[in-house]
Amino acid sequence: MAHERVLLVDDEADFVTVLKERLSARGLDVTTAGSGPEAVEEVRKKRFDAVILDYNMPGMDGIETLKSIVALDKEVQVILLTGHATARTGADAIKHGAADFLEKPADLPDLLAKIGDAAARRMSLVEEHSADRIEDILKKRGW
Amino acid sequence: MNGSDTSGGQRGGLRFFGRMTANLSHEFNNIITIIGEVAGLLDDLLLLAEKGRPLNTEKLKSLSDNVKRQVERGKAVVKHMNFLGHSIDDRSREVDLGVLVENVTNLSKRIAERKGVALAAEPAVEPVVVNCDPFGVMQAVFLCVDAALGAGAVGVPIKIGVRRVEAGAEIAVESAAFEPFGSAEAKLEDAGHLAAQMRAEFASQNEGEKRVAKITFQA
Repeated sequence: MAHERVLLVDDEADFVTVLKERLSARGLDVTTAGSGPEAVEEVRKKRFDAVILDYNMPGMDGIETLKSIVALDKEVQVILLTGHATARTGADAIKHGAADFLEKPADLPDLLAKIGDAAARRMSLVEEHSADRIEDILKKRGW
Repeated sequence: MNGSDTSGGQRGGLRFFGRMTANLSHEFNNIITIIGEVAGLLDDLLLLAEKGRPLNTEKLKSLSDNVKRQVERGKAVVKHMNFLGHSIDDRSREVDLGVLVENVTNLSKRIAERKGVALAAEPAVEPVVVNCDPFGVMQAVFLCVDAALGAGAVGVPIKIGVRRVEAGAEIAVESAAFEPFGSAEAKLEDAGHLAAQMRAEFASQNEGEKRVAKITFQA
């Protein structure tokens, strides 16, 4: 089974370095970004199963980054990490296209479970969209 | 000062206090998160060591350094929190404005950074000690910073300086985002009670190329 490809986005370099190491040790393929624009650039270059995105970043914040990422890749699953998870923050995140959200500091098993769910959702979305595309092609050719 | 002024002033003070403490709690949360992840990674390494993989001393050293960095950050947060907490102890007392400005700058830095704005305090050449309401002055400085941020200061740096002037002393908040006699002045009107309390005079004005909001203290 292929390793989940994860993009980890946070302006706290010490956090990103350590969490990357812990996730990599569990077999995940982790790319990191220290800001919203960097994250968008990574999504432009590579397909990810899940993006773990900090809500509270300087400059381009979590919600702005989320919107840009979702606009680039309709199937990508974004898990928003927030320091103060409230129902409002969660609803806001989901409204703007996040697949899920998690409060910081998050327990690793919870985060891994959400990454696993996100990868499964992405896979089923990709299959769904592929089936739609094939159906479109067949219709256009009158088959 | 009538009842509604007092109530508005109290609300303004509470809003300022709330924003500062929310900001500090965010910083604390980041520190706790990093220390938690480092502890998790240490657990991972110990588990591997129990299975026979030798411990890498360089790796342990870097993790220890990381925790030390977070402790230093935590100490700074506690220092600024303590200054803010004790700023409401007295209505008026002797305050070194340089120290006060350094604290407000550090308390507001993250709020500015979220808008891509670098906020910096210019080191004071000498101690500038005045009698004032420290909480009120901190609030007034923050209102100037907030006004600059609200005036669309994305990417425009804000500098805060303290200096002696002929009439006494002044705190100058400098930002190219200020409109002359514009938004900063309006913001300070919300905290009009402060002016009365600390005999501060506010002016947003062009100083050549500079746009400065000033809080002045009479000698």
